[in-house]
Parts: sequence; C-alpha cells; structure tokens
Amino acid sequence: MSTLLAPVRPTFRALAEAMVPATQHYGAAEWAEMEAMVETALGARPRALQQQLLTFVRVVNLLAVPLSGRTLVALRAAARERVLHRLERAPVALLRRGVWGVRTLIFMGHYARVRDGGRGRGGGEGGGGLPPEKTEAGPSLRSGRRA
Amino acid sequence: MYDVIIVGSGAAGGTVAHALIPLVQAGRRVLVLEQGPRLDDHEFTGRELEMANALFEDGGGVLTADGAMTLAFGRAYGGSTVTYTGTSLVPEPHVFEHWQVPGITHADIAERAARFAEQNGVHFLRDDEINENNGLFAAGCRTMGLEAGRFPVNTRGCKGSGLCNLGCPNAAKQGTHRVQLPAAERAGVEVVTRAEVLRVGEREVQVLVHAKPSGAKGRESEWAPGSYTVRGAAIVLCGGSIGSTALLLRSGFARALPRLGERFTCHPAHILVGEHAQPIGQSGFPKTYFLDRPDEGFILETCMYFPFITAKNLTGFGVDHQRFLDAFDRLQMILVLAHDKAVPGNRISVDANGRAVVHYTFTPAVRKALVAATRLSARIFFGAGAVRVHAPSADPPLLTRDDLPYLETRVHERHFLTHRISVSSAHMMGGCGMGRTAADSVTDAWGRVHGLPWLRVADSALFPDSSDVNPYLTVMALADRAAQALIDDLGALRAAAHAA
Repeated sequence: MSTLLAPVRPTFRALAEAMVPATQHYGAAEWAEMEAMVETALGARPRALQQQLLTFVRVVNLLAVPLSGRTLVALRAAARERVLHRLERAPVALLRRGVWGVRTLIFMGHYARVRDGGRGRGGGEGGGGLPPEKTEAGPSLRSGRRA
Repeated sequence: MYDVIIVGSGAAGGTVAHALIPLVQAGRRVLVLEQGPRLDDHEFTGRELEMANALFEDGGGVLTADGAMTLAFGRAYGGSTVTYTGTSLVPEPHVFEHWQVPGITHADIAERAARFAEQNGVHFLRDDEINENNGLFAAGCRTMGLEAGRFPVNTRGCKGSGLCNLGCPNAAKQGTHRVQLPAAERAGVEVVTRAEVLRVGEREVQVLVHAKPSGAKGRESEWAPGSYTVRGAAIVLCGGSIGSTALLLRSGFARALPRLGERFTCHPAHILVGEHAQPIGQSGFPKTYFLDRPDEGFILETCMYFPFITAKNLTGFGVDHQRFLDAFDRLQMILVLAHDKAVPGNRISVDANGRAVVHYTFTPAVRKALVAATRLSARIFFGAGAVRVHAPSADPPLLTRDDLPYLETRVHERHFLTHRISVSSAHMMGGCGMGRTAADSVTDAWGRVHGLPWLRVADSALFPDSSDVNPYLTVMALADRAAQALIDDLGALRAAAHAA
C-alpha cells in the first residue's frame, strides 16, 4: 500500500476517475500498482515539488465546493470532470499548472502501466499492441522525394 | 593529466572523440565523461516508462521555469543520439545567413554533414518501408496540392520497431553510441559513464562518479564511485545546450562571459492526432515525411509516439480524451514544431544548487505558428480520411469534418492557454552562442570560449539561433569544426598547461 499518497488517497482516486474514466473499474490490485508508479515518480522529484502537488490535491477537493456545492470526492464522476475542466481553464496559472501536473501523473500511472509490459505501444487494452521486436512495415503509399 | 577532456558523449561528444582518434594514436590521452549509463543491447526493451527513466534526464519530464513546456533530452552513453529518431537534415542557407557568425557557411556545414551522413548510413527509406501512418500524411498533403519532403534517416538494418525514441531495440539507429564512440574507444579514447561533471575550473573538472542504483539499467561506471578532480590541457563541453551552459554558469563564468545563457531556442512542439475509422498501419519507421513552412514559422513531421506520452500531449482529460487513447490503433500522428527565434528573456540560468533553470516565454510569433500549424495539420488529417482530430489550441479540442469551414475560429490563439495545452521540446539550442567577441557571444566560430583558450564548446549550445530543422547533423558539423580547431591548437594548449 502506498504511503506518499495515503493522506490524499480518496481525492487522488477521485481525480483519477475523472481524468481517466477507465480507472473507475480498477480493483485493489490495479490501484496499488498505479499508485506505486505515481509514488515512485513523485519520490524522484524534489521534496518541495512533492509537497506542492499533494497540497494541490487537497486544495482541489475543497475548490469543488464553491464551484459545485460539494467536495470533489463527494461528486459523481461527470460532475468531477466538469469542475476540473473549469480549473484547467482558470485565469490563475497556478491552478492550471496544478491540474496539468496531476493529470500527467495519473496518465503515467494508467497509460504507461496498462499499455506496457513489453508491448511498447499499441492499440486498446484488449490487444493490438506492438511488440518491441516487430519486423514488418505497414502498407506503403508512394510519395515524392524532396530533400 | 589528460590532453583533452570531453564532457558529454552525444552528437557533439561522440563526434569530437572520434575526430581525436589520430591524436590518441599519436600518444595523446583523451577522456570522455558521460553523466548517463552505458546500456547493453538487451536492455533496450521498448517499454515506455522503463526506457524513459533509463535514457532521459528526469525521465524526459524536465520543465521550464514556469512549468509551461516539457524538455526531453538524453542522458546516456551516446546522449540524445540514443533517443532521437535519426532524421538527418541540413538547415537551409538562410539559417546560417541569419546566424551571422563569421566563417559559418551553409557550404561548410553541408560538406561536413555529408561526411557524417555517410559515416552513419544516412539514406532514404524504400517505398515499401514506409508505413500507412506516414503514407497518410503524404496523401493528406497531396489533397491540398502540397508535396511532403522525405527525411533521410541514419539506420542500418532497421526492423521497423517504431521505438526509436525509447532507444532502438534492434541496434539499427546509428547514433554516436553505435558509430563514433565505439570506434574512439577501440582506438584508445577513454569513456567513463555515470560521471557527473560538477564544476569546470582552470584546466580541470570536478567529477562525481555515481554508483549504479539498485535495479537500474546499464553497466557500473568504469571508475569507482566517488569524487575526482581531473586535469586536462583542453576541456571540451558537449553536454548539450542546457548541460554545457549550466555547467559554465555554476562554475562562475557568467561575469567573464556576459552572454552566457542567452539565445536559447528549442522548436516548441505539439503532438497532434487524427482518428481514422479503421486501424492504420503504425508499425515501421515512425518519421518519414516533413512539410517545411518557413514563411509561416513551422515544420510538420510525421511521428508515432507511445501511449503515455501521447496522453500527456493531448489537451484535457476525461471521457473525450480517453476516447482518443482507446482508439490508439486508429490514430495518425503529426508533430508540429515552431521555428522559434532567439529573444531576450528566453535563456538558461542556474538555481542556488547549480541546477539548470530554463526560462521560456512563448512569443506571439510562436503561438501564431503553432496555431497555424495545427490548422494545416487538421486539413491534412481530414484530407487523409480522418474522422476526428485533436487540436490543442481549440476549445473543446475535438474537431470533426463539420468544423472544417470554421477552422480559423475554432483553432485560435485565444485558446493557446499555457498549462492547459501541452507543449514539449526535444531540440534545445543556444546558451553558449557563437559570435565575434564576448560582448556578443560566448565562443568564436570554432567553439573557442572567448578569453579562455583551454575551454571549448562543441554542441548545440553554440547555436546563436534556431536551426529551424532537426539539429543533429548541424551539431555534428559544428563539433567537427571544434575538433579541427582543437587539433590545430593542442600543441600550444599542452605547452601552456605544462607551464602552469
């Protein structure tokens, strides 16, 4: 179980569920894996930055109150997303920066995990991924050479 | 005591090390200090996060001072040549005319670049090696009466993994880690990895050699972990625009070199995606075509990135954002890069701990160029058959064909809201610009630092302004010039070092 995120875990998961709806279907193991990745990334950053991000997560939960009448955690996923979209357009750059930073961590925890495992990059979660040692080029379309 | 110490092993460091082979064969001692690790072939797994953490500074997540742009640069044996795509262009003559550095001409750079192109196996892909993602770009251009140029690329035996930016898993990309550095080491050049240069002093560097972290990729350092002071008759900085500049700044050279840190440019970029109705061929070499629009201040390039980096570079989040990522195998991608120009204020400094800080503001011209590039890319995507396009500087960022008549208003600079839209850069340039005197620059046209003959710069920090195109061949050409001057000067430098 992660520790760095522990004080803000409910809000962090609310943010994740709004930003990547697929996380709404996470089980305990997936959350643990995702949060461990996020913690590892956060842990490699300066302590001041870690604290800024964790503080921002706390603040976002409360900022939802004047915007929607409830804390972020208490809102349904769609309402959370609406609140966060307002914050990502906020006139205060610090708020936009905070949203951007949190979304980057959440995207990393989701997309670098579920699409990883030797597949490199690829299609939907059900398959279609490209293994690292693939050799075939796709269909060719001719084009003029310039340069 | 070494004759030459080279700091960094990327396009510049590898080139200088290779060029100094005759000196080594004549008994001179040449040392390359590389901050990053040396990976073995089997360690290039193509896994996104794993490779990003192994090969890039801060995992590719270095931010500008205001957090509005991500800067990605390599930190490994071979530097960024391990992680670039290998596209090999020489800037147009007008770039060098604009630089106004005496002695730097298009003809000279092109002649040197041609030598490196041959050394690195640069060639055009065969038509049957061009995948559908790239072909769609060329087809989309043709619907608008535009002809895409084809990139020369530096691969040998490419198997089309498409993983160039995570380090080629098939050892096909001919970066300095495959060509120049191994040859230099065979000839006797000494390369030490995990060696962080903390300071440069009078003919010496202070080095901290790091132990290999537990579980990390790469070999142990060639030297035992610890602190070293290494002396050399000449020191050549090849740590990249940010690395070399920050090293000089934290070493106290700012007073003697008042232009140090200035003239930083970086080709700010967006990753754009167009969604097709059916899966498209993404397998294969990812970057084949470009469309240069110098009058509009941008260049479009084909690309194919990985899930996390793609997710991060799209604007927004939530249901619509996820729909694009769920359609990954139906995505066509275009990278747009602005031809930014050196302006006051966009510069490199260091913080109290000596860490680099990059100050960068998007000028109106850059914003305009990125927005115009996005509009043109949207037309290319739709021309190629895409059904939806993600446009960062639109709000909401989702475009359909119904938006085509309204692109001028839907995609607009008023939506270029920093910290909402993602902007990234992998072409850092400037900070130790070339010129005439210390009043206007940091070095002369041969990388000699003004007033300090034992100190040279040979990397992209030398650029007095943007190269407008992918800079790697230009870096190699400038490094070759710096090496040539060093060979010419080394006798005097050795005499001065011994006298000191």
